[in-house]
Amino acid sequence: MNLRTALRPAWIIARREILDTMRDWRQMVPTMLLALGFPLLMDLSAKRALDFVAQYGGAVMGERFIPFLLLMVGFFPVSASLYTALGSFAGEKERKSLEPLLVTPLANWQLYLGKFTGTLIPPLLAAYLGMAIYTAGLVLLADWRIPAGLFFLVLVLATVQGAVMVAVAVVISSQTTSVRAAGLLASFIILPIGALILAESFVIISATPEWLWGFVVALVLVAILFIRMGIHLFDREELLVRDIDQLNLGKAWRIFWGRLRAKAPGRLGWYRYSCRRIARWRLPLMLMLGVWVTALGIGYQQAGRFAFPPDLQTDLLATMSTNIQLVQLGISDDVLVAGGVSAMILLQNLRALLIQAVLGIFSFGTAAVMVFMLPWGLVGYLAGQFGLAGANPLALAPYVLPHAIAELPALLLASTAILHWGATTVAPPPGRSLGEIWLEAAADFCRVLCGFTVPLLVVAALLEAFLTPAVVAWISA
Amino acid sequence: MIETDGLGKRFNGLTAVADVTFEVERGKLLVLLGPNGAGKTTTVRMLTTLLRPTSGTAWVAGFNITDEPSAVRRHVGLLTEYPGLYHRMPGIDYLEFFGQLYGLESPDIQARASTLLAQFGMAQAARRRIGEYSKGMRQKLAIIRAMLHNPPVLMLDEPTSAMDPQSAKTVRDAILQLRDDHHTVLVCSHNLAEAEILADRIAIIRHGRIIADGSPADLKRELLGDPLMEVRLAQPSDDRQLDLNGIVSVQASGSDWFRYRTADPHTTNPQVLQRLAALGLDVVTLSKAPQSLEEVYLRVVSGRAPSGKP
Repeated sequence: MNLRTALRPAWIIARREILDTMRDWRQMVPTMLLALGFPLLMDLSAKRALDFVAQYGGAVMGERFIPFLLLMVGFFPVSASLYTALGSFAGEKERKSLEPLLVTPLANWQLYLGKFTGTLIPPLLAAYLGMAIYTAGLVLLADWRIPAGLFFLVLVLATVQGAVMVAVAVVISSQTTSVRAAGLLASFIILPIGALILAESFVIISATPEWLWGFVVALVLVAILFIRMGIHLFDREELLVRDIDQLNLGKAWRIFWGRLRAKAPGRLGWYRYSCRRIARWRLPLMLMLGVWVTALGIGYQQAGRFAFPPDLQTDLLATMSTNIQLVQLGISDDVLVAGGVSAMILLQNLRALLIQAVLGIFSFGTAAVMVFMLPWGLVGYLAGQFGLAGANPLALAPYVLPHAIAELPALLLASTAILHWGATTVAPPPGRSLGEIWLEAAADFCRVLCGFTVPLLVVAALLEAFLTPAVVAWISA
Repeated sequence: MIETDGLGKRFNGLTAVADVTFEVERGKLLVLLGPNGAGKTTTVRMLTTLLRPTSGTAWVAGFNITDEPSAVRRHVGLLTEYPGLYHRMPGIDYLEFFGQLYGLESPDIQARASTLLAQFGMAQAARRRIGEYSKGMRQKLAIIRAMLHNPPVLMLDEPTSAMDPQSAKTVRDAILQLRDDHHTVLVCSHNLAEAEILADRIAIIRHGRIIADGSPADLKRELLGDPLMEVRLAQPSDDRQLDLNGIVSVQASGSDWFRYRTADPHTTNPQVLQRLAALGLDVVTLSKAPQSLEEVYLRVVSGRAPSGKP
């Protein structure tokens, strides 16, 4: 089957969605007002603003205000796509028209793509129309021409913003049973998009619009992630059978606990089972190892760019040794103090892990990778500074290695589990609900945390408080 | 054409369908009969690959429902429990839309749609928006949608619900025509009269299990026992007069009538008539008493033992 033949059914679905939108006055009237009326209003506002600031010689203010209004003119009609996208599956389910569609021979991705395209095209066309009217109005009313490059940039930005909003809304729609429930969940789209618009406005007003290409790239990646997630989550049975969105804490707990406990006989059995599960994460583990090496490398490389002041560099080794020795002297006399330091180190590591997990959940695991990179990037950076000071960069090893032997595997495993947790929602296995796989991935994270990471971090904290200073002192002596 | 082997479906630990096994040959019509919630729709949804079976498997039009879902859907026409139409679309556009999804070319869709719309008395309404249709018209349009790509297998869930008697007859005739044209048809229904008219075979489903399966005549014989004969007499008679000399045992009687069961009416009935003549009782009629499918259904669904059976 060639691409054109494969895409044809998706286009048939999309065309029907577009025609349906155009037949619905409740959608057409506001869209047309936003596409035709709003740009004219913005033209008048721009003209007034330009005239006003011109009186005080502040033409530059007006010049920055005009692209900002272009951004708004492009965004508002696109925001209307939320309404149709949220109803794409949930609405059809409510109207009982979903089953005949699901029984057609179309593949899941064709149905999904058809819905996605069908809900995206009308608001996008309205946005393009609005931007064209606004630009033309500026020429006529204020004799002001928006640079072609900027116009193209905002056009692309509006398109990818629309794609992200629709992709997320279609995922929400396919996971809820009613338009009402989908509408309530839409705040997960509106709030981040609102923050994004603020950031974009700031970039435009601070006269660095070329930065918006960075936003475009990030949004394209997010759109791809959500489209992939939507296609993976699309399941005919789930769409048909899910009748009530009832909060079932008992069931959720059973899924979580069942996965965590794993019906393994005894502690040894549980560890054996857990090792088997972790062994399945070969690819993410390898990826995280690669990330670890990369973080060290980036840190080392950045040492040259952000070098220590020369006076600090010359006695870097001596300063660090002295500091560590002082710490060792301070804590070695008192086991209680040393224990307290260990506890603080452990708490710090757990707090970092918690932040990593929370960020990972909301970023498909990507933020977890970044948080994991930070400390190792710093280690690489410090090693780089050693090199700049004329010492062997490996001289840093005694400061890190004694406790890193336990800390690195602990963080590596936990980060992999968080990455797996976040990434599972992007590409869930077929035939499972999003809630189920999310809970199971959460249980897997807890398994790693309780069974491996926390014990290893306890050991690492003890080593860091007792052994590392001793090793440094021994080497320095 | 349709073959199921121990088909079963569980939802969150609840059994919706269990161990359903049946076969419908090409050009035959099976009615899946059962009360609401018996598992009819779940069975059909599994056969159309909308639900994955949790046990067993099935083949539809030669394709396995688990391994070749797309091929199964291509060869099946489904009338869903609810018509599921797009109300802002004109009827003909709706059919064009679904025809295209099944890979038909526009001229073929137009030709086929015109024929079916005319057959169902819908030609005049083709260009009207579906939102303006009556319930019956919507149901007819949904049936046309299911038949549009001329699938070898049709599954119709309550095809005549919400229809007036005339429309229901049109639909029934169309279904019978499909069967005569060698299509395989599976109808889900709880309309007993309709089942009796349409079915080559009836499978009665209850609590997700098939509890009786056979032709309407076979089911009646099997579940209601031997044929029930009814004699109407010219004059009233009392029990003492009605001494049939052990030829048959009377099942029920009134002042001028009585009923008996016989496995062999050809032999027994003349003997009964001779005996009545000998008793001086004039016979007005001797006929087979009507036994309805409803009686069979109620008996099976309520779990009562068949008449005349131990």
